[in-house]
Formats: sequence, C-alpha cells, structure tokens
Amino acid sequence: MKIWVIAERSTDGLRRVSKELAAKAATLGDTTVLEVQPTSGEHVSAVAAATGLAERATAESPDLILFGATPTGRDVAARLAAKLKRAYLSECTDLAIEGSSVDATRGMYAGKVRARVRAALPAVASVRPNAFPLADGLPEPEVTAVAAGAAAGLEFVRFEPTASSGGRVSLSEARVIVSGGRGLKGPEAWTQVEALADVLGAALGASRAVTDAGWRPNEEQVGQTGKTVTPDLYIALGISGAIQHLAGMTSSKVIVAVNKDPDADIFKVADYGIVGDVFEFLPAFTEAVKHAKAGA
Amino acid sequence: MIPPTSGAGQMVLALLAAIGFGAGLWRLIHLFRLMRIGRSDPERWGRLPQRIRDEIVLYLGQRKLFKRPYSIRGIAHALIFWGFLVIVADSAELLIAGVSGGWHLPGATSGVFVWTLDAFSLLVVVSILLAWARRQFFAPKHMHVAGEGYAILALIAVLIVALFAMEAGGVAAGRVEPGAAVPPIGAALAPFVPASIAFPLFAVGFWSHLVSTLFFAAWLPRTKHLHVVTSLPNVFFRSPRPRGALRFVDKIEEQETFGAASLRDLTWKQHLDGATCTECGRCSDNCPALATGKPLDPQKIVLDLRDLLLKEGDLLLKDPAASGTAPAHQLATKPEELWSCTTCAACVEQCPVTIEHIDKIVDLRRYLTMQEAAAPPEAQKAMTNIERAGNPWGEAASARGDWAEGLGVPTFAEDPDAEYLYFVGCAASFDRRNQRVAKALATILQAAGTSFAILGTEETCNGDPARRMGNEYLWQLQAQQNIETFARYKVRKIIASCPHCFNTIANEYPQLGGNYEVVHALQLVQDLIEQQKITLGTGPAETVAYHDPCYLGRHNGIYEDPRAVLDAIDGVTRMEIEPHHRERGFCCGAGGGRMWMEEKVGQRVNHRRVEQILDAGNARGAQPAKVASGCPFCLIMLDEGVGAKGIAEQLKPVDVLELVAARVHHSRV
Amino acid sequence: MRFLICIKQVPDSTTRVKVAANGTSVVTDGVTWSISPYDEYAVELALEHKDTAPDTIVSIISVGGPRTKDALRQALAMGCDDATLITGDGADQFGPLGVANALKSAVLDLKPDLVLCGKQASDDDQGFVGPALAEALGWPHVAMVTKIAPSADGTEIWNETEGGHEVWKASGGAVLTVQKSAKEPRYPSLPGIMKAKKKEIPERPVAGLEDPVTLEIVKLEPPPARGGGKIFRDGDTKAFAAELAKLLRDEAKVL
Repeated sequence: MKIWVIAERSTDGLRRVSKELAAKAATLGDTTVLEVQPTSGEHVSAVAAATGLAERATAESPDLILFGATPTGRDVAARLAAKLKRAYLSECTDLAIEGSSVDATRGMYAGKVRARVRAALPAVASVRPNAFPLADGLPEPEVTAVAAGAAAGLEFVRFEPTASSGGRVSLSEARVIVSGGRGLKGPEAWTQVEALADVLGAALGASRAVTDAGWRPNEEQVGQTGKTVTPDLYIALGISGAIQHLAGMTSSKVIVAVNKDPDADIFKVADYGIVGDVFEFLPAFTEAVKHAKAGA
Repeated sequence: MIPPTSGAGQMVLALLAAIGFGAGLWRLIHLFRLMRIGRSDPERWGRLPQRIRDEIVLYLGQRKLFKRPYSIRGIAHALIFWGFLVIVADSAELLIAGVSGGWHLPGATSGVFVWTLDAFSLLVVVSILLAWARRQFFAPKHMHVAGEGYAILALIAVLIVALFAMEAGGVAAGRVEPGAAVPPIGAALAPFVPASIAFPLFAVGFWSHLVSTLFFAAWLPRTKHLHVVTSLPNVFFRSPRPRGALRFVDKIEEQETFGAASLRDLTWKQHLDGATCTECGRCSDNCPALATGKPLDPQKIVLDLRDLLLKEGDLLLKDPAASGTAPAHQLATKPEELWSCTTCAACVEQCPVTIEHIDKIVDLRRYLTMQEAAAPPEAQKAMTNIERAGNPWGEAASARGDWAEGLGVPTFAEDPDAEYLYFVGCAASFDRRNQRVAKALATILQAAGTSFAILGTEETCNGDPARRMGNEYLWQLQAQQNIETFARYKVRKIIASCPHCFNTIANEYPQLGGNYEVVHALQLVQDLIEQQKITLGTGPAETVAYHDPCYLGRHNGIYEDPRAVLDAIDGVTRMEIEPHHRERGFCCGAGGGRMWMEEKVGQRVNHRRVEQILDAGNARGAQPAKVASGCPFCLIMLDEGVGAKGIAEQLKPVDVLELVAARVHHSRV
Repeated sequence: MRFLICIKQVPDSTTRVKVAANGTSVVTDGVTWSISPYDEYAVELALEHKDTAPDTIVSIISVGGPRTKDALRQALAMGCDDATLITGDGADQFGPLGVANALKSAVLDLKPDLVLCGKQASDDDQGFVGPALAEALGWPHVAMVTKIAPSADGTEIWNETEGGHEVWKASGGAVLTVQKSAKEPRYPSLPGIMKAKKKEIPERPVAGLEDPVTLEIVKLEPPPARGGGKIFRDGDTKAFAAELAKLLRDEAKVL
C-alpha cells in the first residue's frame, strides 16, 4: 500500500493537519510526504499544484493520496482526482483501508448526515483537521518537494488580507462558533469568549441583543435578521433561545448551551447543556478544551 | 330681512355668485378628473344602507372626531362644522333673497331657524377662538399648522361678525319683514346701533357676509378645508372590507404590473383620500413607527401621494401613455418609510375622515416586492422560507406538529370528525416559548371536552406575513394550499391562538372562497368560562397588565373577551396600560411582516411598549407582575423588550391562555 | 459577456433529512427541492454582474431528471436568460466525473466566457464537479470565489482563503466555484416568476456517460434529533465544563 500525504506549510512550519495525516498514513502503508513548491512567486494555483502532482503520481501510482481539508487542500485534491480520474472523498473525519477499497466517514447533506462511504483504490481524499490524534514527541516527517506545473490562462495578481477578521474564520463558514448573548452582561466578557474561540479555532457570533447594545459589531449577529450558520459545533453562552436567534443556528450539527436559567428555551435545542454561571464556565471550559485537544 | 339690493345690486350679486361658484366648481371638476386617473374600484359601490348610515354617523355626526384623546377639540370641531352647515344654509338663503330682491326660502324667517343660526354662530365664534388658541399656544405635534389654517379661521370669523353686524343693523333699521322672526343676537345688539348708521351697517354686513362666503366658495377647493366637501364622498365610499382584510388582487397571474407602479395603479378612492386629508395629524400622533423615530409618517404618505397627483396629474391627463414617477420611489415617499409600517391600524383607527392608510402602504409595498423584487433582504429571506419551508423562520416543515407529541392532541388525519380545527400557526408550532401557549390551549380544550384536532405537518403558513410584505402572490399560494387542506377534512370551524392567523383566515380567506366560522382562542375560552365548561381553581394574587394585540383589537374589535377571561381568573387584578389600551393600544412592533425585518433606526417599538407599561405602573403606584396578551408575536416582542430593559424577572410576558391553563380543573381524566 | 452556471437540485436546506430504511439513502418523499445554496450564490454573483452590465447573458444548466426543471425555473425567475436540462435515463445517478463530462459537451456548444457553480452541492458536500469540469475542458478553475471583476484583458477573480483573498486573473475561459457572499440570493419578482413558468427549457440528451469511479454509500447515520440533549443541572459548573470538553471530543467528535 503506497500512500502520499500532500503537506501544507504555514508561517510556523508544517501544518498540524499535515503531521496528523503523516502519522495516520504511516499506520496504513508506505508513506511519502510531499509538498508542492511554487515555480515562481509564492502563490500556486490549484491547477498548477495538481498538474505537478499528477505527473509524479502517474509515474509512481500511489494507492491513496491524502490532503488536509483546508481551503487549498480541498481545492488541489479535487482537481488532482479529476486529472487522474480517481475517486475523490472530501472532508473525511475517519479513514480505513478495507481490502482494495478505502472506507471514509464524512458528512453529507450540509453535514447533517454522517456517512460511511467506500471507494475503490486508487483514490484521493481530503481529511479534516483533528480527525486523527497526533502524539507528542513525534519527529517531523521528512518532506519531498514537488515542483508545481503550469497553469495556462491564470495568473496571480495580489493578496487582499481581510481587515477585521483578526485572523478568525468567517462566521458563515466556521466549523465552530462561540456565540454570546445578553447573559454575558457586557462587552468586557468577550475577552474570555475570545480566549475560548482561539482555543477552538472558532468564529465569534452574537445574539441580536448583543449587537443592538453595541457590545459586538453587527456582522457577528446570528439569527433571523442576521446570519444563518450551520457549523459542526455551536456554543451558545448566555443566550435564552428566542426563535429570532434559533432560526439562524438550529441547523448546527452539535449545539452546546450554557445558561443560568434552567427553563431557558435554548436547552430544548441543545445537544449538551449546562445550567450554571457562564463566567465560571468560560475559563474552566477553555482549559478543558486545551487538554482535550492535546489528547489528554 | 329685506335685502339691501335692488336693480344693479341684484345684478352685481348674481355676477359675484357666478364668479365665486364658477371658480370653485372649476377646481372641483379639475380634481374630479385627477381622481379619475386612478383605476376603477368596484368594491366602492353597493351596500347603500351602510353607506348612508356612515354619512349620518361619521360625516354629520362627526363620530370619529371624539375619540380619546381628542374629545375636547373634537367637540370644538363638531361645533364649527355644524355651525358651518347652518351658516351655509343661511348664506344660501341670503344670496337667493339678495339676487331675487326679497324672496325667502320657506322656513328661513321662522323662529327656529333664526335662533338656531344665532346660537351656532355664537358657538362657532367661541370654537374659533379655541382653535386659534390651540394652534397658537398648544400646537399638536403632527398637525400641519400653516397660515392657511389661520386665514380660514379668520374668514369664518369675518363671515360671522358680518352676519351679526347685518342682523344688528337690520333690526335697528327695521328691515325685518312683518311676521318674520327677529334674530335674537340682532335684537340684542340693535339698541346699541345709532339710527344714523343702522342701514349702512346692515348693508355693509350683508355685502361683506356674502362676498366673503363667495370668496370662500372659490377658495375652499384650493385648501385642505376642501375636506368639508370631499369627506362627504370619502366617507360614503369607504371600504366595505373588514378592517383586517387587504384588497384582493384577482387573477394575479394575468396582471401586467403588480402593486402601485404609477398614480394610475392607485384607485380613484386612494386619490380621493389624499384630497380629503385634513392634515390634522392624528394618524401620525398614533403611529408607533413615527413615535420611535422611524422614517414613516402616515400623514406624509397620504399628502405625498396627493402632492404627486397635483404635480404630475395634468401630464397624465394629457398623455394617456405617460406613467409618471413610481409613487414608491418618488422623492418624498421613500421605500424605507413604507417598510417601517407595522400595519397596526392606529392611523386608520383615528382618521376622522376614513382615509385608508394601510391599503396605500401595502399597494406601494406590492410594487416594490412583486414588481421590482426590492423588498429588504431579511423580508426576502422570510418569503423564501415561507415558500420552501411553509414558515417564515425556515424551520423544518416536518417538525410542525412536534410540539403536540405526547399530549393526546389528534391530527385531522387521525380524527376526521373533530368539531374544531386548531390552526396552530408558525409561531406556536416552532417557537419554543409559544409552544407553551399552544400546549396551554390544548390543556384548556381537553379540560372542556371540546372536540378539536390539528393539521400537523399538513398545516402551512397562512400567508399573512407575505401579504403584508407586499407579496400578494405568495399569500394566495399559501392560502389556497390551506383552503384545499381544510376542504379535504371538511373543516367548518377554526380556532386560532394567533391573531394574525385568525385575521387572515376569518377576513381574507373568504376572498379566495374559504368561508369558515373562525374564533380566536380567547373568544372561545371566554365562552367556555361563561358556559361553565371549564372551572378555574385558585391562584396567587397578582396584577396583570393587558396588552391589546393590534390584530385582535383594532383590526377585529376584540377588546372585551380577553379582558373578561382575565377578570375570571382567580387572584388576577387586571391593569390597563393607560392611556395606550383598547383602540389606542400600542403595537409590539412585529406586525406587517416587521417581525422578520431588522429594526436599526430609532428606538425599538417593543422597547417603547415596555416603557409604556412601566409608566402606567408608575402612574398607578404599583407595577404589574405580568403583562398578558393574546398574540404570539406580541409575546416574542415583549419577551425581548423586558430582556433588553433588564426587567425580565420583574415583569413577565405571558399569554392569557397560560394563566387560564395553570388554573384549569381537569374535568376529564 | 456570457455566464453559464451549473446548478444542482437538492433537498431544500430547511428540510429535515431522513435516512431511508435501507440505511444507505435518504427519504425523498415529501421533500422540498431547491437549487443547492452555493449554486444560488453563483446565480446571484452572475446576476449582480448583469445588473451593472445589462448585455450580460446568464445561462443555466443542470443534469438530472424531469423534476430538475423546477430548479432551472427558480433560477430563470431570479433573472437568468435561458436554461438547458441535460437529461436521459439515470441522469440523476451520474457520478461527479460523469456529470462533468455531460456538462463539458454543453459548454463546448454554448461557448460561455465563464462557467460558475457552487463550491459544493449541499447533498453530497463533495465539491468535485467544478474542478472536474475545468479539467475536462482543459480550463483553469478558481475555488471559493466571492467576487469577480471582468476587465478588457481578463477577469479578476477573488478566491477566499485563510486571512483574506487571493486575487487571480483569468485571461480566457475558467470555471469558478462560488462561496457564500454578503449578498443573499435575490427573491424573484413576480413578472420573473411568470416569465419563467412559460419559458421553454430545451433538453440535451445524454447517454452512456458512466463515471469511471463510483462511491458506494455503506451507511448513513441520521442526524441526532433535536431535544433530549444531555443537560447538566445542579452541580459544579467547572466539573461540568471539563466533562463537556471530553464529550465533545469523544462522543460528538467535533473538537
């Protein structure tokens, strides 16, 4: 079994998801970790990356090519699969080799249904971050460079950074959202909310009461008259659960509610709820998430 | 009296009359032609007895002028109006006598007439002083006080002073015919008139009275005081629809344009409304949108449309192909104004001359929504949700009946013989807070042994939000779907706990051939209590303020049943939200589709409503523990309001049904 | 400028998806069908361009059975100019590469300047057809597009990525897969709905476009029912917080 992991790099080295995949791949077969190198400039289009990879794949015929399900990873993976005319499994949360096939767990129907899908090898897959554990103290995988190919008809112009995001993902696309309501009592509480969001890699949301009061900007408003969101995890802090808010978030896969009012309607839609003081909850939960993510 | 005219005088007077009336008539004909730019409106005819009754009560009787809080000024207006009618009769009589050289209408010289004339003339003078003082010192906020108003008051004053001068001089100069009654004021003043000036005073009084009357006839149709004339037809042609029913668009799929795209698309009656507006500002005084700083001013909408007609009307008359400015986009009436309306009917309720504000606003919205697809984005989302999920919040249609699980509430599919359909509505089906109200009603009905069933997933949004957002088409689709479902189960009687469902099913579904016996849950519960079908146990003593939902109160006149239910609940002391209750109830802010639209301008209407409750509590020296209503939208808005004010613990919004259900005895196991 | 937008008809996002008894498909009875949400954003993006440049032609196309025409009419009602349905036996069963091939021949005939589709369909959540169509055409593609700015020497394309947008320029044809943008897809006007109802939708037959690779669904797990969640009451909030983090990782698998 020959497996490729296509790695991605951020400013501080190989991305965690790439390492997770390398570690997982090693348990499945012979693993090669590859990284696409730009031929000029620093931005590589998906077409160029896929072209470079396809040339090599045609020569070496790996059985399974794994990408991290980042925006770039998903994009290159799909194009590469099309080039190679292979099956493509996107945004997997688990993978297993079954004989000459690969079985993947992945979301369908906007993430509402968890599906187990089988594809004949050879195949290409993108895998979500945190799908596989990464043990501490593993050596950095050895990475082989692959030159990007050509992309006729497409040139890079410039990068436009998003000003206000503060490095956070956008609300409508976030997989995790931490959202605050009137129960947080004032804008000061958001220092703690942001600390939690940072640990979770989450976007920030708010109820209308909060944006009305000017505690948070209007763009963060979730609900009937705000944004409709469908993350995997929605954490509602001090939100009572009026329909005007619920209409914007009940399609979330997992809903967590923290509220001091045991009769709050938000608990009726919550998968997990804690009746308690949100200010006690926040620091404790932020720590607990850190531990859980570290695999403790 | 013997008129001071002869020969040349008669000729001059006849000529002046021809000029005065001619000028007035010229203007009236022009206005009539302008009205006819509007489209035809068949619903304005028929029902003659009702229309005559309206004229007597509303026009002659001035009934709508006496509403709270306008009673005093209403009386003053009525006196001026009635006095005006008597004086006009007298002026006509004088004119005829003057032109004919002494011929009097029968009865004109009777004691009854001259006494009535003098009495009203005196009252008019007093009322004019009052009206002048009010404009001068306590001008109402939204009344258009302009020089014109003073000029009219002054003209009426001149008319009457001239009349009194004529009477005094006439009596002193012996111009009263033998056998004719002596006018009392003339008789009282005559002793102070020196003989030398008696005839000149009489003649000057006579001529100035008639000249100013004729000037009035020429000038009046060019002022807002034209309403004296136009309110006569405006009241006569008032809509025969229930107030809660919007105008039906027949064969909508065959229309070329939708809503009021041009002045030609408004009806002639809507243009007549503009020509009738008295600029009194009562509609604006009571508008919740204006009160909370929104760009909407109902009086301005009426006047803007009138001004647009006066500005572009001649062009439209000349060129049958011209369409003019789209009224929804003309500089004055901007779309934001139209979208601020909650359709609460406070304006319609107060308008003394039966102007139909909501119809106009909705017609203009219809143009924006259906023709231009330019509804606000949140409204578009709500309409998409209604279309795809059958509810404006976009909750899963398959979850509609979930609230009833385990309660023993059958669906019609399970119990096709049920007597009543409980039409639950979207709010009580999907909003967790309002689900408790639906459960409360189920508890009460089960305790009373009432045979009822719901439609479960076969129910869909009644269409009201779409219709009020201007999407007549979507309303018709939703209504037809429900009507077909009702027909399938042979539904005849319907209970609605939501006043919006109640209103549209009771008042609007008949437009599509759906006729049912529809009751609001609180009406039914009041019956059940009265007939002792349910008995209520004891409960804690608490003061409960009652908030009138617009679509229960003003739109359907249901003010007393909910109050009677509250009064029947042990321990409950009912409190009125003075002065904003019954027909002056203040909207919660959610009607007219506003529930699904953003409200970033000014103060939230629901926040103002909560302040009003607190103010009323302060005024009576004790705050209520709860505020009860009979509408799911009001409940959502009040809940949000007390939350925003940080008083959710002190003032609990509830539905009256919940208070009943908490105390109802289960007669059945 | 001519746009061709490839749309897919999927269960509406408000529909509660139910897994069928066989455990490998979803129940389609009683489902409301709509244009896949990201495809709707693609339609909106093209129509916004048409709003500013009225000579723009926005064509739409879909592959599927007769029911798919409803989705095409939805897009026509929004203001698209014409629609084409690629249909035939088993048209709704094609895999992504089959669909891409079917679309390719239509693109060659219709000759659009740009081809748009949603970044992924909301039923299979794959995001494969767009890049596959570009590959079949030999065109470049740009994913997660939120904005386009056509100019004389090509089209500027904004690709949303972490921390901002990469701006690319396509000098010729390209396939763009569209991301949600701030502007929600428009609600159609009534004249638009009426016109769409009467519009002829030509059909292009397809046959024999089997997908070289197929995915087999082994098992579908239904979404957890709302309500009946685990609610921690009357206890130490801090201990609950720690417990919750473990549950989210191990039970819900969302950390």
